[in-house]
This record gives sequence, structure tokens and C-alpha cells, in this order.
Amino acid sequence: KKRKSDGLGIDEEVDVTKRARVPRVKLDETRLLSDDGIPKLRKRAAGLKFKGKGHEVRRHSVLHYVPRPAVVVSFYHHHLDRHHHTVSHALVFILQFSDAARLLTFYQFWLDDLFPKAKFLDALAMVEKAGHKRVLVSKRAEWIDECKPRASDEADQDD
Amino acid sequence: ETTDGTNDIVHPEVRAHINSLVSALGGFSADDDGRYKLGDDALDVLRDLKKWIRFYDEKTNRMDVARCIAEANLVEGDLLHILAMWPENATENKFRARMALACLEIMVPLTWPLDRDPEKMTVNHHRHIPMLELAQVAYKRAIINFDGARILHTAVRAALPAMAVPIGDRSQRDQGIIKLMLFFLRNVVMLEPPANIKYDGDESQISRSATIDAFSYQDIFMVLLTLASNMGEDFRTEDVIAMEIIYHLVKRVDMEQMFMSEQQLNKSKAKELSSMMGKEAAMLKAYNRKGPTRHNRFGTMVWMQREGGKMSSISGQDALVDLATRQQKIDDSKTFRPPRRPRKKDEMEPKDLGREPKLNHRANTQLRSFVEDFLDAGFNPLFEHVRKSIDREASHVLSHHKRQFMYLVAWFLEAERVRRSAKQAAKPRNSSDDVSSFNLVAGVLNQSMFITLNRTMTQAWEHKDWPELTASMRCFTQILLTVQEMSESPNEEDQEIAENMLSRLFYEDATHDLVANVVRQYKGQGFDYLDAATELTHHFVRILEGYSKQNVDLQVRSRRRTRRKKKVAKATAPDAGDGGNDALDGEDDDESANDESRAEQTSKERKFDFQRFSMRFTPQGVVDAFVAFTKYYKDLNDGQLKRAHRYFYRLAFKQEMSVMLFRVDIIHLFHGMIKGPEPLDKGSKMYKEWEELAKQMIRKCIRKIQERPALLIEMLFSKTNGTAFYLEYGHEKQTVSAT
Repeated sequence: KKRKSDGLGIDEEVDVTKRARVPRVKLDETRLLSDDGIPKLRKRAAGLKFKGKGHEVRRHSVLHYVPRPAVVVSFYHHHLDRHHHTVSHALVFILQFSDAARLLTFYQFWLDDLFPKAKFLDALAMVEKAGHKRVLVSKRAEWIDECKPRASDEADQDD
Repeated sequence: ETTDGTNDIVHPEVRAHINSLVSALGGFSADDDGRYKLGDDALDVLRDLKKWIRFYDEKTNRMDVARCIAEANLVEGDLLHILAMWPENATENKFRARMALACLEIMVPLTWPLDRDPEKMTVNHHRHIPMLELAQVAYKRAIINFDGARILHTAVRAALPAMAVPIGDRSQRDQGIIKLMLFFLRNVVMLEPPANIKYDGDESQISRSATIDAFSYQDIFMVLLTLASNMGEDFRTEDVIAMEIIYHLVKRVDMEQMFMSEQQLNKSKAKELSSMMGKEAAMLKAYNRKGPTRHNRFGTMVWMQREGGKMSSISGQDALVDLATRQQKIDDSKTFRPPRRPRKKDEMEPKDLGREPKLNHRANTQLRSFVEDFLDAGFNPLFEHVRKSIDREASHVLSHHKRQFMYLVAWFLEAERVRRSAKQAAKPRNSSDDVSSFNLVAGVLNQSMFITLNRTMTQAWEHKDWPELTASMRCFTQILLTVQEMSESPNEEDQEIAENMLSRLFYEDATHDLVANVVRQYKGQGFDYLDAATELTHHFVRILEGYSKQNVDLQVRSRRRTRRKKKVAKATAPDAGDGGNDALDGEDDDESANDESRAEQTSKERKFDFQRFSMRFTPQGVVDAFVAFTKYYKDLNDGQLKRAHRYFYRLAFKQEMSVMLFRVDIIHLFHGMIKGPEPLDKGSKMYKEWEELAKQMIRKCIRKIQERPALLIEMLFSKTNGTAFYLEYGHEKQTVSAT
């Protein structure tokens, strides 16, 4: 607030207290455990589909944000015998790496939403560091336990 | 510097004194065709100069006198000419010899390497050192390239009378003269232009090649060989100085190239050039493919649609290329740097060794003949003697000598191996005149050397002396490789000796621990250290595996450790376990209890033992070290790439712990090596293998994710052994070991 002062403003009191800075946003365990963090990652994981060997191609992929490389897809349809899942060798190779790219994209977009300012590899390093925190360690154990019964069911079905 | 009356940086009186001394020393006469003439009291003048250096510079810890002498051009203008006045045929001339010694006594402190020890530096040091460094390089240039006489040779001549005296009859003064001469040689070899500035003279006049050429022409190599082969008989305390001279001659020289014939060398250089050009062309092509096809203000703007109706906008033509490029662009546009402790710049060059020398053909030949002669005659006596000096912690051994010793042993062992393979390539049939040349290096393959090596490694590890640890790890690696080569030699005696040695090398359990710990606890010690550690790990595990398969009753001595002690250790070092040792602890106790009954164990259990040992290389720390190493893939050579590849292969397929590699940044690295913007060079031999490995890893990873959705989250984090085990096998690890 500036009061009207006479003359040069010499008589005005000067405020010398430091104004507190806005705290820096960090990618730490609290952010990872918030709704935008790992819970969101788990939600999105349901939509993550791979095109590797022996997995059917979903024509309507849930992943809107992964534009399909058109060339590969048509080529793939051309070579795929729907009943026996045999794919030519070169194609498998392309698909392997496209799967990796898909996976990396999945993580990159998630991190970009969660913590937009850091580069992908830097953000990964931060997440890894936060993973040693006690809260996260216990949480991680929980998540693994949640998946366990389902995993064993699947195993039984396979057998 | 300042003649216009402004303040001089050194005391004006000092400058005046030095200048008057230098002018009183002598000069070029006007009458008899401009030759150098000594002043009347030249010898006293030289002594005075020596006193100035000693009592002004060294006592008061300044560098003023050295600076004045450098500016007065004493060395090039006077001393070298005085040395040249002592011709070969006048060696008996007492006065001339005394003059030469007096010159040396001044030149040695002038060329003494300057150390920038921040603890002891004063204002004066900061003032003078940059200038003195350049002055010293100029001294070196003048000494090596002096036309009038062989300066180095003259220095040796000055010390010859003292060297001729049997060691028992040498006086203190004689010892001093020999030392002086050796220090002079060492200083000349050691001087290099300072790393942080560009040397603006002719590099070729002071390069390693020029030095080697001068050494060869002035018969210094002969002196070194004489010294080395008589070490312990006629010479005792000179061992480390001789070693230092050799160290500065051969450090970082590529011995592969050294032992090539001229045709091979030309071929390899041509190949190198063409592969470099191929690399460059591939790089440019990759840029061009993604480069813009229109001018830079064309203004393309692309929107990417993302989850939840989000949009990202990217500008620039290359956004149209493909998804990977778009992602890369999004990532590159971010400017945030995570706050880190200020790290030293991560360079691949080892700090303390200087640059890699490029030797010309002539120097190459000269150095090769020296190395061969040295291996044939001087290697064993010199290095055994140095080892003894180090062991008894003699007063003339300084802290850096240990490191140099380890480095040199490694270097010469490798040189010997390269030489042998070059010989065998020259004559393909196994001829019988191939006398067991392993005797030439037997001096560093005995039990006492192993003990020294082990102790050096553990001490360096405890004191966190990384350069020393690096050197001793390289030394250990070379010893292992040499012994392994011995065990494959056709000579049966060699085989037996090698067997015996290997059993001794692997006998100490502490060594196994150290090798595993060094690589597991890697944390930012720089590329050179990482390179040495991964190399040692690779060969140690490989050779140990082969050996334990052949010798099912291999015994390892492990120290008895009670449970109580272990608990204490755990309490003091809570993070040392890290899951790596936890699994072993239960069995460790068994081991110490079974020590005596170990001899009758069967082969199966021995194999299990190696399995257990190799399990030490599965924790996340080791994986991280190898990943950090692989990140340099663009600059690694085939051998290094192979090393990393073998480790990952072993981890994933032999030990079935591929889960350790399923972390997003590691997958990103593997993917980037094959498909990224800067992939591995497709022309290299290792490309195919890496491609296969990356493919297999990714395939496995995708399959695992579909099997166990939990992995999708664990991909972000480091995994403990327990978690990894569950993800790999789908059930908990049995904690009770069924033996």
C-alpha cells in the first residue's frame, strides 16, 4: 500500500522483511502417491496393449494418444494369420521395438502430466529416488500383493 | 615486463641481483665467430644462482627467482651452451665436469614439476605458476632440440664417474649426483603443456614422439636399461626414479599399435579413418533424414492429442516425421535441470595421466625396441625391487609411486601379451624355440606380489583413493589374463604353475568380496574407474568360472566370522547389506563351519558355490554400474561393449534375473542403442549381438508385464532381491536354505 507522501518519499518506512518464496514443486513421494501419480498410472495401464507375438491386434486401441504407424499396421494385417498367430520374422522384430516405444511413450506421457517441467530421464531418476522412501516401499509391497492372487489365478488357468 | 618504472611483481632488488649474475656468467664473444665464452667467475656465479634458488625461493616459499631466471633466458641462453662446451673427448676435464654439474644443479629445480596444492599455495604461486609452466615447456623444447650438443647425454656423462663406483664405496655426494641426473631426466620427460591452455608453439617439438626420439638418439634408453637390469646389485634407492621415468615414457601408449608392423599399422590406420568417415556419414544422414526441407521460418505447428482431451503443440517441420521425434521434441523443450550437487565434469579421460600420445612411426619403432629390451632384461629386477621398497615402506618411496608401479606392471604385462601374440601371428607353426617367455615377467607373478596387490587394493578401497584403486584393479586384471594365457600354453610346466597361481589368486575370500563390492558401490568416481572395475569384474568372474569347473575341489579361505560380529557390522553399516549379502549370510556360517570338511566335497556343491558367488553380481548396485558404463556406448570400443553385453546376458539368461533390467531408464537405454536418435554404429561387430539382446530383453519385459501387472509399477523403481525374485518366478523365495 502506498500512502501519498510529501516530497521525495524519504519519510516512508521501508519494508525489509524477506517475502517467502513460493515453495518449489518437487517430484517426491507425496506427489507420486497423489491421484495424478501412480494410481493414475495403474488406471491407464488397463488401456496399454501390446502388439507383440501372439497377441491380437485391437483395431480400436484404447490409447488414443499413440498414433499407429499406418505402414506397419497394414503390413501386419497382411501378414497375420488370425488363427495361428504366425507373423513373419522381420515383422516380429519391428513389433518388438514398437512395443518398447509404446511402453516408453506410456511412461513419458504419464510423467509429463505428473511433473511437466522435468525431462523424461531426469524425472525417472527422481521417481527412482523417491522409491526408497519408507512410505513408498510399503505401498509398493501392497500393490504387488494386490496383483498376486490374480497372477496365481492366471497361472492356474494356463495350467 | 615493466621497464617504464611501474611496479614490478617481484622485488626489484631480486631482479637486479639475478640479472647481474646472469650477465656475469658469460656471453657470446664478438671476436671469435660468436662462440660462447665463460665469464671469469662462472663457477661461483652458478653457485650463487643455486644459493638464490635455495635460500630465497625454497626457504621463503616464493617463486620470484625462478621467474626472474625465466625472464632472463638463463637456460637457453647460457646453461645449454655451457653444457655444450664439454665435448665427448674431454670427459676427463675436471673443471668442465664441475661446470656441467653446477648447471644441472640449477636446471633440476627449474624444471621441477609445479604442483598446485591448494593448501600450500600463496599469492605468489598464483602469480607465477601460469607463466612458469610455459617457461618450463620452453626449457623442455630447448633441451630436447638443442643442436649444439646432446644435453641429456651430457647430463649422464656428468653422473658416470659416480655410477662407476661400486655401491659400497659411493659417498653421499656420489649418490646425490646420480639422483640429480635421474631427476633431470624425469623432469624432462614429465613436462607437458598445461592441459587448460592451447600451446601456441610447435607441438611436435615437445611431443612424446620428440622426447622418445631424443632419448633414443642420446642413448638414454641404454642408461635406463642398465639401471633396471642392475637394480638391487649396483643401485638401490634409484629404483622408483627409474620407474617414474619409464612411467612418463609409456603412459597411455597404445601397445596394440606399437607391436604392429608398418603395413599392419597403415592398414589399421586406414581402416580407422574409413570407419570414422563412415560413422560421420551415417550421423549426417540421420540428421538429414529428419532435417527440415524448407526454410526455418516456415512455421509448421502440430497438435498432438493425448489422454483426457489434452493437447500438446509442437512447432517445427520435424514434428511431422514420426512419434519418436515428436516425443523427443517435447522432451528437449524442457529446460529444468534437477538440483544436484555440483559434480566435476564427467569426462572420459583419466585425470592424472594426461592426454593420449600419438606416436609417429619413428618414435614407435624406438619405443618398441626399448620395451622389448626392457622386458627381456630389466623387468624382473626393477619391479621386484620396487615392490620390496613399497612393502617395507622405504623412505624414498612417495605416495604416488604405488599407483605408478601398479600402472606399469599392468602396462608391461599387456605389452608382453601383445608381443607374444604378434610373434605367433608372424610364425603360425608352433616352433620349439618358443622358450617359455613367461619367465620374463615371473617377477610380478609370485605370492609376495599377490599379497602386495591385495593389500594395495584393500587399502585404496578403505581410504577411498580412487586413482590408486583403478591402477591396482587394472594390474590385477592383467595378472589374471596373463596367468590364464599361461594355463592355455602347450608347455605342461607352465600349465601347472598357472594352476597353482590361479588357486592362490582365488584363495582369499576377501578378494572375492572386494571385487563384488567395488562394482556394487560405484558412485560417480568417473569413467576410468568404472572402466577398470567392470573390466576386472568381467575377467574375474569369467576366469573363476572356468577354473572352478575344472577344479571341483577349489578351496577358498574365508575368515571365521561369528554371528555376533556380523550383527555389529550390520549395525554400523546398515546400507552395506542392501539385500546383496542377506541371502548369503545364512550360508556363510555353514561355510566357516565346514572349512575342514570342505576337502571332500563333491563337484556339484562346488558348482553351487560358484552360483552363489555369481549371485553377488545381481543386486541393483551392480546393474546400475554396468548401466552407467553402457551409457557411454557411443564412445566404447568393441571390447568394452562386449564386456557390458556379456554381463547383461549372464544376468538375464544364466542367472535368470532379467527382472533387474526391467526399469524404464534401462529399457530406454537399450531401445535408444538400437532404435534411438543416436544408435550404436551399425558397422561395429557388436551391433548384431546388442540388437539381439535388446530384442530379447524387450520381449521378455512385455511378456512379464502381461503376466504380472505389478511389474508396470515396479518398472519405475530399483528392486530388492526379494521383489525381483517374486517377479521373476511368481513365488516367494524360500528363506530356509535346504542343504
